[in-house]
Amino acid sequence: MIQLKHISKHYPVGFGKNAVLDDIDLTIHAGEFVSIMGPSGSGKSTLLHILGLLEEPSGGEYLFEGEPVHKMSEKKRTQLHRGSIGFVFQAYHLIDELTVYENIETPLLYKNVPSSERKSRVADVLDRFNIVAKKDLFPNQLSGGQQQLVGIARAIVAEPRVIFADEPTGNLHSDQARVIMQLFKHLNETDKITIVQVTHSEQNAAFGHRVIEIRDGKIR
Amino acid sequence: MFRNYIKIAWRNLWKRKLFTAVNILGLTTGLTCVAFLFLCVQQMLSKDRHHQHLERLYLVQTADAGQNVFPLLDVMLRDFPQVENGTRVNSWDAPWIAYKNKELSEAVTYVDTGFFNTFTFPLKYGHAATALKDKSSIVLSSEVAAKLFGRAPPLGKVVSFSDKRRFTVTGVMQPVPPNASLKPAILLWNKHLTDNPDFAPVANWYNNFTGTYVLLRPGASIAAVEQQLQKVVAARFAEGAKDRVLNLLPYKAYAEKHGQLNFDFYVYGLSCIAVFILLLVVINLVNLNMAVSFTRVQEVGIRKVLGSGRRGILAQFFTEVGLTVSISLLLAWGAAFMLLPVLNDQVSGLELTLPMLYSLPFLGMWLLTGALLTLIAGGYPAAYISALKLANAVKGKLQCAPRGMFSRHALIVVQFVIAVVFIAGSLVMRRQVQYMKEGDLRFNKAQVLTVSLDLGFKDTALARSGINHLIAQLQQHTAVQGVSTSQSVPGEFWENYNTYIPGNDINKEVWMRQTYIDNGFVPTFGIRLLEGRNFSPDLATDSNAVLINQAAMKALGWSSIENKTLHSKGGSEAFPVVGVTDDYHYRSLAGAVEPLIHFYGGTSSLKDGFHYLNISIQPKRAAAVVAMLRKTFGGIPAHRLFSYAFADAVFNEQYKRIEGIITLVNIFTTISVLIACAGIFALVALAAQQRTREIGIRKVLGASIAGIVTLLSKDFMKLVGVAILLAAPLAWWIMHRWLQDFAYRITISWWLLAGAGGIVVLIALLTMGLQSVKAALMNPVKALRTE
Repeated sequence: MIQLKHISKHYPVGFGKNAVLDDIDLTIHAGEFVSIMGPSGSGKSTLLHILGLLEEPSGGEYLFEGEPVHKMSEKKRTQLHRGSIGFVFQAYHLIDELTVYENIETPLLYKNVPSSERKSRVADVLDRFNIVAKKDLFPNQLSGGQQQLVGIARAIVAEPRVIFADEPTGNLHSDQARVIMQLFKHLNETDKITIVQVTHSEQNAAFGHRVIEIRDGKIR
Repeated sequence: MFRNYIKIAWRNLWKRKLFTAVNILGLTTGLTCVAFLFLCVQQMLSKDRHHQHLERLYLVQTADAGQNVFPLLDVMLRDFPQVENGTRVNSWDAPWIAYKNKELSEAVTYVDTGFFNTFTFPLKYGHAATALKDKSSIVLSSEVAAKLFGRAPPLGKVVSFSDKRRFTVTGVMQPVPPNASLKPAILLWNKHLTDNPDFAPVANWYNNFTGTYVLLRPGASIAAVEQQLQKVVAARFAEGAKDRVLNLLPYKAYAEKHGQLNFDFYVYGLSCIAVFILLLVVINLVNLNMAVSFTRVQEVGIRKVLGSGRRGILAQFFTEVGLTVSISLLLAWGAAFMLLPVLNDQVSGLELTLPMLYSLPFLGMWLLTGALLTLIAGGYPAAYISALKLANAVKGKLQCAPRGMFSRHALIVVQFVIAVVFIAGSLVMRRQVQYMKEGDLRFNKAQVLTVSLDLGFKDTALARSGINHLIAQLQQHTAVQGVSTSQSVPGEFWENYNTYIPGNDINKEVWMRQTYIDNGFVPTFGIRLLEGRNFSPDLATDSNAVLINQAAMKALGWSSIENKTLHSKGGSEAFPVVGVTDDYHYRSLAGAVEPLIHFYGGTSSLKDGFHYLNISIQPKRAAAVVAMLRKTFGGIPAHRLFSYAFADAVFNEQYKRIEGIITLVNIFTTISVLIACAGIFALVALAAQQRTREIGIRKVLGASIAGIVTLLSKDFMKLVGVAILLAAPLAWWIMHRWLQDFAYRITISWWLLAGAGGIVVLIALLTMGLQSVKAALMNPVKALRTE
């Protein structure tokens, strides 16, 4: 599903450059649950951003479902964000001005899903995550764990084939973290959604099939 | 989708209530002004457009003057093949017109039978072709008809004039657009004038007083008509008038050339001000949106990750700005609707009407302005933010934006430059008017009481005996130092000029203003005589003597008036010059004192053409004299009420117009300052909000409140400083140019400009102080916890 060939990423610093990723080769198959681990500054977040099309690599090739991403237009990338990719952030990144319901609905709006279908799909997700009672609340009225539930609900509502999660439990205590990770596992197993997460925690990594260790911009 | 945009836009506006309020308030104020300015311009540009044959309608001018000789039109209608029709427009008298117990005074417009075919004044009652067929016909405006007859059908009603003439109403005009140059109240046939024994000798080939309007045939050559006019001048005009040059002025340019209001000012000046205010408003909108959008970088990032295209982000931003602009457009329209009558009161001659507010051109420009504002104010921040790098945006990181900051700063500077220029302008104008009001007029302005004698006395004989008796009494009164009757008083001199030629040098011509006075005028007004003597009733030879002022003497190039005479151009009578007056200011200090010639009208008494009774009194004893006047005038039946005023009040009436302009400038000054302040107010508030954490940390580390206030306002004050430095020379230059129109003017001292700067600094400090003190007083623990 995802294929990286000789991917590198560096930023200009003064007259030289600072390499963050160096010659990464990586293949992730559909249905996998992969955890990327490594110390701070090792480049794991950058890798996730490149995978999620938030950043462009400085060199190398990236094939997403066989298509070369580095040759895609802005429009095509937006299409991928709409249809194939879901994102979960450490700081949840819900839109403060929107209610829980509207936050979850937003990706469907961008996907031009008709109104009635939108309603039923959002209702399904709310039901499934047990947050129906919270649907008219605003993000700042929820606890961190609840916000992250909404964040995940928002990520899966458009039925993506892959979810990229950037330290999804980083801001949560361990009980909440376990709930979230079980949810990911469930999504992976029953909905066959490919999941790629960045994490610090061994316990969280244990929920996945495979761990990718990254250190100083290289995969170990 | 669109509903979703509106919903989110609404919530965003609501969340930032302060900004939204500032934005809408600023926009509404600015747009209300723009609405009025546009109405004024529209009013000017649509002037006289109601005439059907406007393209073929011309005024026959003498050089630049709008008048012509009376007999000209007859010749043109008879001999000029290119002239299809035409009419003269004359005013001669303003009689009282009565129907049963209702009476009113209106100027009569005397016209020819071609009037209704030349101009377009549709009749509500009657037929244009027959309305002015004979001498007993009268045509009224709808207002006059309504006042006289109410709702009764006016046709066939007989009205009588105060001079006993009687007329049958043959037509009533439909209401004339309020901005029309020609708005006749009462129309009579010109034959009344030509049959009048007083009028016939005046209506020769020399006197220029008739408005001559012609309708040319389609495709007529103006040059050919003008050529033929020149032949008429050579063949028929009187001696002394043969050098006149006649030309045709298109009637659509009439308002521009001969209108009451300064056309250029209203069209170009007001358009400029409108653009200025729009500029201020746009700057604010861009600045505020820019500032707010910096706090929304993350939101935009998330939306993009969720699949929003660039277009979706732009649409979101435009919806928000569009919503603000739409609300303001509505509010401003409402404000304009309510303030329109107030404005009409303030600026005379404007006569805007409410229907103009829902006329198509106005609504068109209203929507266009809204669209333009939205495009500019929404586009700039939206374009910037939608182009952000995704990875950074999601983290809420802003790429350093030095370019954005620079333009934001530049915009603030522009706003304050405009504010300073307006304030300085207003200060200078005020000083200039004060200077003119306090200036030495070279006559006794404080002690002379002037009483109007132009009251429309019903019984002239009774009035004459009563007032002449009063004058005799006043002359004996101990509180009265002098009494005079005159044609004019300073400040109210008529536009009455003629060319005079000195007896000793027939090649010299001097253009002089002329007036009629009695022998009491010079002593009553305390005017100094520089040479010679005042008129004397004891010398029979004084009946044709004249007094000139010093300016006239200079223009004539005389060193003494000994044995000097003057005669008018084309006239043969020699007027001996018996005295020279000081250059007293008979008109506002805006103009220099022009050459003036006084004719002698005999001793003080009530007579035709003498409109003023002037009494020099000790102010403390004025009450007794006024009581006496009141008693006498109370006993004389008249159409108008007895009224009096001191000479300085009469004189200062001349400054009403410029004071009106100052009021307008003050309004715009206030608005520009308000908008500029609203802008920095919100920006400081935003800066405080963005730097909450920094302020919290600084306070924990021991920063004082003053330190925090300085921190927040320092940068803005620098900008205000730059603005003042830029504005000072600009304001000086503009006001220097403006002052050139005044013969007597102040010099712009440095402290006027410094004062304007000081005012702006003070206002800016107050505005920012409020916000920054609030930020500085906040509890630091709270600030740090929220992060």
